[in-house]
Amino acid sequence: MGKLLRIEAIKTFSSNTFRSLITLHLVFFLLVILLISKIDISVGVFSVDALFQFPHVYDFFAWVSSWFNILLAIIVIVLVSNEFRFGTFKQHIIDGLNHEQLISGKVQVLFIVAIYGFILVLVTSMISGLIMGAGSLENELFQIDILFVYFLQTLAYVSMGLFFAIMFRNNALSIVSFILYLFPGELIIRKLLFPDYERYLPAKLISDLTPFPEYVSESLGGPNSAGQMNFPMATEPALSQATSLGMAGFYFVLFIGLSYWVLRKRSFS
Amino acid sequence: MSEESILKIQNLSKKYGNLRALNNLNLNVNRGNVYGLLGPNGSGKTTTLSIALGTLNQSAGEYFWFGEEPGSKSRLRIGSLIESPNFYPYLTLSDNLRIVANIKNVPFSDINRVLGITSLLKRKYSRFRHLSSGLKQRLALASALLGNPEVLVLDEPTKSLDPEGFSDLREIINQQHKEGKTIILASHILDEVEKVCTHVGILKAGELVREGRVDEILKKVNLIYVDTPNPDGLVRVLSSSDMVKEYKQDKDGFQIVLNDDYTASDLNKYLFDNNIVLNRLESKKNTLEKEFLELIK
Repeated sequence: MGKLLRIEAIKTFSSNTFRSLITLHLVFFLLVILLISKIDISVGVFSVDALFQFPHVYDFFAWVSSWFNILLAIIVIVLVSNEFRFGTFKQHIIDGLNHEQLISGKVQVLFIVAIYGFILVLVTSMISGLIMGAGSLENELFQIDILFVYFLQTLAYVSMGLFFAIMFRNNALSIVSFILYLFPGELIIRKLLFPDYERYLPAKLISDLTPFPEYVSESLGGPNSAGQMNFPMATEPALSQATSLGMAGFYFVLFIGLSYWVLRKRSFS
Repeated sequence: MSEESILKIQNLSKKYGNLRALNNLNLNVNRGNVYGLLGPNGSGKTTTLSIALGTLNQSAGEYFWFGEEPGSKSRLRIGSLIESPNFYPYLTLSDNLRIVANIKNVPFSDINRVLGITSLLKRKYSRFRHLSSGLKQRLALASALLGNPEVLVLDEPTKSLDPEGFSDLREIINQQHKEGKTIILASHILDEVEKVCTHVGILKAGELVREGRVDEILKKVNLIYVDTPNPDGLVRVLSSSDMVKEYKQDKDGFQIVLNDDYTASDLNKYLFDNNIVLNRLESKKNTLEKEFLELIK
């Protein structure tokens, strides 16, 4: 285990591509948060400022950050596709790793990326909450359950990225296929093939894990208001949270398993 | 005492659609052999080595390393260079070798040793992408030598090497052979193979057409070139001799193949006794290149 982590650390943290994309993720996230914080809207009991205060800040930041999970998945796709591009997965096999170890190494990268996302949202939420200071701090400071959900969501997204990268073995093709699947692809599949089970399909289920903040919908007059904005609603979950979390965990394992299977089945050119 | 088999390949086949890249290939490499795998482009050399090193799945057949089922454990005992050097272009030579050292459970102190052997020590902190193709090939060789493996598998190791690199590689192979290592070498450079290999296997269209010791293969043809002012007399004498296997005349004289028990001096004496005066008598050793070209015709 330690050996694989050391190997992944050498190749990942020295990669300019990785460093640039992670920086881009960080900057985009902070920029979006900053821009929203500059909006001065108060409608009835709703105010934008409240989104930056405890306890809503965790829900809000996790929801904003969930949109950037696609970028984290793209980082994983680039890292894995590069292994095929450089011929290094093949070389690792020749040098004495087996297919399980190749996948295990990448799973560790998935965890590193998800931990980064978790820490980013945790730290920025806490700083925002402490600066904007409201509510009862000692009770609300550690109400971070949603961040663990966000962590699982990130893992599920990046594992899907891993699967696409191993399927297509090419940066551009994997990224385009991944994005096409997430947006029109699964929507079409859901509507045409599984209209009754659409909430169980991976992209929908994983994105629904961090819903639009409850505070907004409640303060703007009920769930429908936010629902009209086409955001998944926390107040009207189609699946229980336990089922959603279980299914997301299942998809994480499934994508890892499929990645291993595809890698094992196909030769290296 | 029976020799220890290092790599044993049995009935190995590989098909790409309708194309048969390997057809029931059988070969055996024993400990201490320097085994040259020869063959024209597309004969199946790289396919054979890729299957043996686990990067390509075979269609049929099996192979064994060290007498056991192949796996990552056996590959840890092998240093390999297959086709092109595969490294992270943005990493330094040192970091690339640290990755390999981690995989092979080799201490990092061995990195300097192999960089020294391949004359890359000064470039230790250069990035891989900044190396010339010859230096990249040297790095691949350094990587293969990391951990002092029992077996070296080198596929076209001289690719992109300059004459100095050629010479260094020959020295490395000879040194490794002296240390009792087993080396499997696939190459097009027949002269190099002849100089360093103890055994060869010649592949043609995915089949092994000849396998054996290099010296035995080269001994097989006993070739003499002669020239005489009396060609008709020479033809008459050669036709009646049992020491001559075959002969042919070309613009430079006669090319004579003797039966195994006879030498050039036997022929010289025989012709002298039969009043044939020679302008030239030249004994030519068979070359691997000649044998190879004959076999793949």
